[in-house]
Amino acid sequence: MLVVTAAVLLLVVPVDPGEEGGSLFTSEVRPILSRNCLPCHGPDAATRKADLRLDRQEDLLTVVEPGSSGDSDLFLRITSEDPDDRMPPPEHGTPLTEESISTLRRWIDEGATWQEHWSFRKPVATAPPLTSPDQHPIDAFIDRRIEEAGLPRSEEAIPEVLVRRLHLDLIGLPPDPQRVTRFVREYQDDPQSTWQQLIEELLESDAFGERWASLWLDLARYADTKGFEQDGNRNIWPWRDWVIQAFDADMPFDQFTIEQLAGDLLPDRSQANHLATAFHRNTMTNDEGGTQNEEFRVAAVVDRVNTTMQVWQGLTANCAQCHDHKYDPLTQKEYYQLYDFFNQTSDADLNNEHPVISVLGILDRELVPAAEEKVKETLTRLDEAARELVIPDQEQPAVSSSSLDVIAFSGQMPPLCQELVDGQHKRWPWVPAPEDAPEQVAQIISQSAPAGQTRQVFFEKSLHPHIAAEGDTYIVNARILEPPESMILQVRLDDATVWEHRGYWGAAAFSHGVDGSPSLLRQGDLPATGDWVQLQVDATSIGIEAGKRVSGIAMTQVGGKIEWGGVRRSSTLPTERADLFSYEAFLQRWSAAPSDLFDAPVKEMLAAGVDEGLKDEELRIWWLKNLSPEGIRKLESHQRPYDEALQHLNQIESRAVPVPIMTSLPEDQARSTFILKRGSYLAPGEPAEADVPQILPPLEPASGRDRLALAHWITSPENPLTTRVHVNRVWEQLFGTGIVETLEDFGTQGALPSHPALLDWLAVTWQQEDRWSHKALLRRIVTSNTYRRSSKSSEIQRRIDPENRLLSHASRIRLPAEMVRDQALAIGGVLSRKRFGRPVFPPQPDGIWQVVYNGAGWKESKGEDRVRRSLYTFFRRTAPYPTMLTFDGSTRDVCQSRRIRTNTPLQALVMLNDPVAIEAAAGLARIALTATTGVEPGELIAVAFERATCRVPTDAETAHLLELFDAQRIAFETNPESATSFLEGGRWELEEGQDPTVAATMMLIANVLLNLDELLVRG
Amino acid sequence: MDKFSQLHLEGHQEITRRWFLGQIGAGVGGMALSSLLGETNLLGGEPLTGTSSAHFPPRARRIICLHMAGSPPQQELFDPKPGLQALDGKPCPQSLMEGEIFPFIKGHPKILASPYQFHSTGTDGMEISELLPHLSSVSDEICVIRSMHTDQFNHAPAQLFIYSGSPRFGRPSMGSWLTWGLGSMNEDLPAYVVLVSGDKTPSAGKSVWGSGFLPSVHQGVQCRTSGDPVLYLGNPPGIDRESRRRSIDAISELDRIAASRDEDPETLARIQQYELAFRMQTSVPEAMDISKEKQSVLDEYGANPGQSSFANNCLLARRLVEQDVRFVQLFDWGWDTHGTAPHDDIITQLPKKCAETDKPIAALIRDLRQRGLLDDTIVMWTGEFGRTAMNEERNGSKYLGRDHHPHCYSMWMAGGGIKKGHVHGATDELGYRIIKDPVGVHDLQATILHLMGIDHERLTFPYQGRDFRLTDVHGKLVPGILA
Repeated sequence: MLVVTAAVLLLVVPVDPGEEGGSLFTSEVRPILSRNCLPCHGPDAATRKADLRLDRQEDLLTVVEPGSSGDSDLFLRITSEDPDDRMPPPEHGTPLTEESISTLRRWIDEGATWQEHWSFRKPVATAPPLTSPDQHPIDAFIDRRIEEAGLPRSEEAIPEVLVRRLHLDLIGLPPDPQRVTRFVREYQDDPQSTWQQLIEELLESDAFGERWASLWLDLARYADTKGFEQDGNRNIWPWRDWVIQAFDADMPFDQFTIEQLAGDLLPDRSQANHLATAFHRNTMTNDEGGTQNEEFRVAAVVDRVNTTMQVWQGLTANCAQCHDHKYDPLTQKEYYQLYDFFNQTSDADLNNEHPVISVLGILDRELVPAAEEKVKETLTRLDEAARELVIPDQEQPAVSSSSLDVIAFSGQMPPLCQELVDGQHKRWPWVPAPEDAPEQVAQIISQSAPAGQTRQVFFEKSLHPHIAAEGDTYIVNARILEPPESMILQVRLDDATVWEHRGYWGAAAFSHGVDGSPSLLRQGDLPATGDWVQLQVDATSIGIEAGKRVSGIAMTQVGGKIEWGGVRRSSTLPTERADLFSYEAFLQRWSAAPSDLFDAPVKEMLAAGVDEGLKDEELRIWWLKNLSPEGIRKLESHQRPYDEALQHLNQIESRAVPVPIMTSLPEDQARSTFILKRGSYLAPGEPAEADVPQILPPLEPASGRDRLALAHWITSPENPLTTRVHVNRVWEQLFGTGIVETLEDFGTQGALPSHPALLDWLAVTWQQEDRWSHKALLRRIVTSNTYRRSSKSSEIQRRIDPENRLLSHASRIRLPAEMVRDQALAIGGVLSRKRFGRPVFPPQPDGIWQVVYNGAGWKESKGEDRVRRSLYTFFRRTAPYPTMLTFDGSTRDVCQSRRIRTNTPLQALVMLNDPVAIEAAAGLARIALTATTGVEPGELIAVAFERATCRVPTDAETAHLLELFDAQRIAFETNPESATSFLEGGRWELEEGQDPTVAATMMLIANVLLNLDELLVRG
Repeated sequence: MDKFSQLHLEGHQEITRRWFLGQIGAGVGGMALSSLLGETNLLGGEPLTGTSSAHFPPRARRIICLHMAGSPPQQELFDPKPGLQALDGKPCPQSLMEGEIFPFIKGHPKILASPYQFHSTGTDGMEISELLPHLSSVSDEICVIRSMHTDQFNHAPAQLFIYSGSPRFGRPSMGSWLTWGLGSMNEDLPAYVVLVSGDKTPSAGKSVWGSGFLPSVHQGVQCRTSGDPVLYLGNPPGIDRESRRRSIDAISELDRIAASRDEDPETLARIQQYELAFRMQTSVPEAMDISKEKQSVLDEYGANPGQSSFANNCLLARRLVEQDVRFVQLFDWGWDTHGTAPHDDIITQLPKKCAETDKPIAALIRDLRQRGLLDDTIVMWTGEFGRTAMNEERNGSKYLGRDHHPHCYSMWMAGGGIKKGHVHGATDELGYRIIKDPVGVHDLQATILHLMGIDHERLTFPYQGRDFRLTDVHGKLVPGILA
């Protein structure tokens, strides 16, 4: 029985002989030659025997006499009785089968027609073999083959299946039940326009780009770390978001290609163009100590060549890195000619990822215009208020002993001083003082420091350095909440380069100054904790002599928690500040010699000698806003919104991240490229200059020899591979198998296309009519009847075409890893639809991240970031998110064109027990309980079932679930703690009146539903 | 269900079973299946297993790899070099510098003689360091190779090289090749198990047990000593075994209905996977529970139930191979003895690591021997490269240590088909270059495959237009280490 079955399998020939002339050669002869002869008689010059090539027509004709096998050396050698003569030699693999020998004979006798390998010839669109004018062209190609094979076609799938299929295929998420109901109802009335409408809706969905970006991330070997031992983090997620947006915006594939390969070389390139080139910075960087950067730079360039050829040409160039390709016409020299295109960028495996550009994430970028508008608006209001404000000139008020000279007190800072917190430019964090503070303390700064660590607020470069006088005393208002080791007042002279005058209380715990000298002089014990105190420092004791100009003050602590109430000066000599109280005095004092502390425009206005008109008014407004105490006070209600708006904008802009990108070396630093013997960077051989392989069309004669030229060549209508490879990739996503099954190999060792004419027609129309639009291509395919077929098949369909290469029915496709998780979360109603941004850390078991030298920990995200779509999950190359790998996700080490789908018990364990799956189950059960009025099990089950599968359960299905429901309910009733802990695991907090036993039971039902085969596949 | 689907399904069930069982070459069923599967496309287009039978009778059926991640210094452990003594502390001969690139050594380094004594073991000139007294007691079982060499001197690429045959990412690991080629011998446990100690995964991360382009069922399963021994093995809180049984029954019933509706054999295969998962929920924790071992055995290994240690992992390795797990891979971190501080020098750190590992390794060998498992189990101990004859003295460090060195290093093997009590190969007076019987990484791989009954040139997988194999285009059998 087994033998019979095996024989039946052989009946299926994947290639349609009627579609290509001379196809005996393509479908049978070339594969025989390629497999059996080319290892010794192929493109690889190093291993070629007898200087004979059988991969080119002119060489083949030296051993083949068309029409006469008896006169052909090739045939004589493969049939020779003499073991020494007979080819292939026994030590080189298995002998040719009788069948192969007779095929070769027939081919020679029929004239030995030769054809270039199919994929190296430019695709030509033949007219679809329409049987009626309104037939879909895809159906015409597909149905013709089905009919020739004598196969029946499956019916169209039921609308419940169609709506789920299209959702998963186009946006990677299941439909919600309301959408299913509406679709099913409308489809019955008007299938054609309902289908069209759903297609358009999904193509425009904001989930679309995320689904298709997932595919591209595998090809681009995208990860959030650099790889190798250190595996440090890498900020390349803005590129991931660029890809999502490109798919959402339906960026034409040629542009998509050019920007990623050479966006930096485009004339008038935008930041987005440059960001796109991060595609090829997804190569690994080795930060391991003691590595040779050149070795890993070369490895990255090699990876770029391999990935480019793989992604856009479907060719496996990597063989040619060490020697000529054994099967495909790609020499080692040609490999290094391609390599030369990529050898001219300035990145060099440096730990800092040079070169980088600073990029603001999309979410932040979306916030900028509003923030800028707010800044503008608040500034306008502030200026308007200032314009209307008139302050009569005043005398500088005299300093009385009760209102000591303010240095930095209660929110008032010296004009124009640079306010700093722990060395960073920040406004001092004044907050209103608590009620129990003494009268002279209106605002405070509360500051904490970990034990042994220093914290401080300070200012420098005050516009008004005060001039010290005999008997000056500094008075510090403060309250200790938790005792520090030391609290310190530091004073800085205007002409000093460093701080060197300090008084301190408590221990000598500060690491600067010489204890016992004016640079660090103890003033006494720490005051009692909890009381407001005024601490005094004699200015002379810390070296502030009369006549010195003081322009900086710092309030510093080592450890502890202190409320600082500011610093004043008690002095007989007040600071000269008439310019704060009279605009005239300000003009007089500063127009002659504007201080460097003024911003350039102010300085210019002063220097220009303002006298009249607008400029004068501008300067006055500036004075009111920045210097006049009364002006500042009166404008405060307008100033504060402006400050806040500005701070908000700065915060957004400070979140920009450095993204590694491609940048070409200047011409005078261009690298010379050499063939690397055995691929080793230490063994350069002959030089190689940028060019494309001979078997493919040449570069435009006028074009340059840089990456941009290569990108244009790839997207040229003359290139035979680019469109076929991408169309095939999309086809595989929708049908489970490519027209060329080996997505990764369009070379002579790859599979032949099952429908060559269809592939070419799709390739050509996509380029010429659809103008490389990804959405148009999808629309074209999913509008066909072929796409809408049921996955049910009859015995004859399965017997004659067990792999369903003829597509007489739909294939059931196990969902990709991302969709498995996203679907569960969506069905559970807990999936966050937040898009873009930094990668997130959903729950994963402890101990996955034990990375050598890299202290990075998996800090579980909070809130909706726990349940984002899977493509946002942080991808650490040395320790990827485990459930992604379990469901056959790529490891992102190298470019991966195709995921191999498996079916293992580890997958069962994930779906049964992963906390994410449990949370999703809880969500689904919660929805069922909320949607129904009672707790009738049949009703609950129906709601959950429909939501999960998009269809109504059959009676038999309901019966099985009811049986489980009843048994489990009794189990939970017997053991209520189990129910409680199960609910907790699902993070489900019950509402009033919800029965924990019913809820937990329903949660297990939901867990069962999410594990159904029907859910894990796209039907 | 029609006959064809029935056969198709049987094929699936067979594959499913083989996720654990392998059974290749075990009889007509396996043979017929592989011919049935031939070019078909049951699991996404790739042949599930590589060979329809072992190429020749195997000498070993299982392997335990003990990897000392970071790479121990051969001069201190297995390759005594009295020649270093005379030059100790003196600038090294110029000949050691020519054409060399060192990861960390700068300037002209000084020779570092080993501060440790060696003891003659009485077998075939084998001398073993005083740091490894327990191993010395089983030296009659082991074969030391003093002439290993590699071409990688950074950790991640060198580890990848040993386990996948290529210093770059993307290739299948040795364990994946073997389970792909030979299948498993066990119905309830993964065929390829990885155990990690020293709190850190290997430098190259999970790729050293990855399946590369082979189907992902063949990747190593990391069993953990804290938390679930296999990820997600445990039921969620509140779900006991009966509840899980009931729920899997319900899943299966509904899947069976789906299978009869859609007639997709893959659905029935999935039912089988859920049953296997259910069995694993008990079989794996049982295998991983060393508390059931006798106290005398625990003492012998120095194992402590409930802790995470190399000793525990050695005992686990024995328990796993005892249950016919095909490939057990242990990684122990902490051997990268550069001498920048006491925590990575050869005076404090190296003796500490030796003390942690010496007793359990010797216990493992004795235990396997006693249970008759050593005859067809390979035990292999290695680092990823060697260390220099010179003191590294990074930034003038006063601690003693050695830099990475690719030209020679020592490893040892024991068990199935390996020559007992033997020393293979030799290095020059300063232990710098090999002077006799060099063994490259691909040679080692070819020899391991050979012992497992596989011709390394014939275990190939077509990918991207080329037939890939573990040994790339290299690898020569090393007859000198075979019994």
